[in-house]
Formats: sequence, structure tokens, C-alpha cells
Amino acid sequence: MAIRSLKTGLFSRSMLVGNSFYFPAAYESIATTSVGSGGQTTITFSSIPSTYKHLQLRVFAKANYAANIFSLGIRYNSDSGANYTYHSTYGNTTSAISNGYTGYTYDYTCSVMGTSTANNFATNVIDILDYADTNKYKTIRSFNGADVNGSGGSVALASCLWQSTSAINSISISTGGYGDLLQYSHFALYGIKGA
Amino acid sequence: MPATYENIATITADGSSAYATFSAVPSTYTDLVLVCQFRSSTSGAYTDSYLRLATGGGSVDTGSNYSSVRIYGSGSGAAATSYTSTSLIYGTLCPAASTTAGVLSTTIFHINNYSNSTTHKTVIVKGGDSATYLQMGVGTWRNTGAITTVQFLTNSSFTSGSTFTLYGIKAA
Repeated sequence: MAIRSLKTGLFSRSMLVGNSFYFPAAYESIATTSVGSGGQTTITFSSIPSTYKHLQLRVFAKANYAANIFSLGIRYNSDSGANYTYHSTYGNTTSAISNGYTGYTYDYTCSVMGTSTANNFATNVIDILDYADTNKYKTIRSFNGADVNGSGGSVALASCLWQSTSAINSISISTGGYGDLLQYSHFALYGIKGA
Repeated sequence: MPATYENIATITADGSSAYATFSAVPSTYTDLVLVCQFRSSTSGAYTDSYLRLATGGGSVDTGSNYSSVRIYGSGSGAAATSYTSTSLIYGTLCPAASTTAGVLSTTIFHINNYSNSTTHKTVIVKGGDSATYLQMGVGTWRNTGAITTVQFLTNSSFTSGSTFTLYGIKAA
């Protein structure tokens, strides 16, 4: 039985001297996929438990497609309908730009680095809020970027609305035909608990 | 369940140094997150902050092996720029001596996959304050070594009480 100190607020497994404190985790690793040497076109997280408040997807990605930075396509619960809208503000080497699109069949908030520069990868932190709430459309926010030493990098803050009230139980991320994800690409899904 | 998001170390500035250096960063995490709340004592309304990295337990790399892109808004417009072959990654602009007292920048860096020894390292950063700029940026360190030191720096010195906390995130 966990015991909470009224003085410090800390949890311990017991009052016995020598026992370590117990901190209930609020940020937990759900699953991770690292792309191997053979490459991979799609990453899927399935059977996502509904026991968290929010999800966070942390991505480090490169694809063998001849480009600088471009977007991977994310689908929730395998929904291939035109149910995704997208807004982005981003900066490249010269300009600050904002755009928005409706009626997409993917969430395009995950960036990936192409083959323009060896060894460079895109980094993403994607937050999926209230993913299990069946009363709301789902709002996704992504902070991402890749840099190629002045030759076409960009940094973006993007959002997507998935127009569905279904609880998210699977997430698939694909190149959409633009090459394969390359070795050392890394996709990690975390759950964040509410109070 | 073991902790997934852990505090590695915290530094509080005493007002005498332009550097906050985290050395001997363990390789046991998947990603690093650096959370900074700070201002600079240099003259003027604002100045820059930067990041430098090291591998193999050595000194931070001061060669021209970094590059950055950043976008910033001032309240009346937005712009973007890039920095090529620099000796550091550009962080965020931060309040300096002539900005209203008590205004600090809050800036967060994400360094994903920092301990791999195969790829260049990509850093994304986002931050701002109420008096100068709101910004986000991306930087690359063209080095394939595992990161063992993270150094955050500014011009002149960080004001006393500025705080810098490095977190590690473990994937399953």
C-alpha cells in the first residue's frame, strides 16, 4: 500500500526505514519502433490504451526520397476519409509562411528529412490532446524541423483537426509512396496521465 | 513502473557566467529536453542565446559545424532567417539589460535521439517572452557522436536566478 506524507507530499511503499520513495508516473512510454536496415514504409501503433489523458509522439525521421524536408502522412484508426484539416506556420531560410488546407485524407503534421543531405534527420514532437474523448474532434499539434546548413531547412508549428469523435486506438504513419523510412528513424509514443 | 521523464540536472545562474553546461550526460535516455528561464545582463533590449554540444566527454565543439533556421514574431510581423556553418546553434532571443525588469525568456529545446552514434544531431527550440520576440528554430550539429555535453550560452552573462533544467526521456 502506498503511503503519502502529509508534510512532503511524497509517496512511499511503506513507512519502513530504507524503502525507496514511490513516484506515480504521469508520463509513460507506450511503444517504440526503430527502423532497421531494410527500411519501412509505414509505422503503426495499435491497441493504444485509453487510460491516458493525452498522447505524445516523438519522431526522428529520414526517408530515401530525393527532397529536403517533407511530410509523412498520419492516419488515426485507419480512417482514409477526407476528414483531416491542417494549418501550419513555418520558417525556411528566407521567409515566414502560414498556410492551411481542408479535406485531406492524412494528417500531415509529421515531418521527415529526404536524402538531400546525408545523416540529417527531422525531429518532431507531436501532441494529441484528449485522444480518448468521444465527445470531441481530435486536435493535434506538432513542433518539428530539419536543417540542411542553409540549403532548404525549415521549422514549423502545425496543427491538424481529425474530424472524428472516436477514441484514437491506432496511429499509422507512412511515407505515402515517397520512398521508405530509413534506418535509425525512430518513433516513440508516450501517454500522459491526467490527475 | 520506472520513471520515463526524469530530471537529469538543474543549474541556477549566479549572475557571473554566460554558460550553463551539463556535462557527463548519461546515454541511457532516448531524448533530451532542456527547459530554460533566463535573461541576459548584456546591454540593449535583447540579445541572442545559443547551444553548443560535445561528444566523447570532450570540450564543446566550437568549429563551424552547426547551422540553424529560425522564425520569429515581434508582435507586428514575422520573419525567418538561416545561419550556415556557424560555431553554435542559435537559440532564442532573450530580454537584456534595458528590457523591463522581471521579464524572462522561457525556452525549451528538444534533442531527439541524442545518444546515437550514426546520425547528425537535430535540435528544435521554441521560446519567447512578453517584451521582445516569440520564436522557434531548428539546428543541426554535423557530428555523428553521442552527445555527452550540452552547453547553453548567451552574451555577457545570464542574470542571477536564471534556471536551466535538463530532462531525459526514456522510450520503451
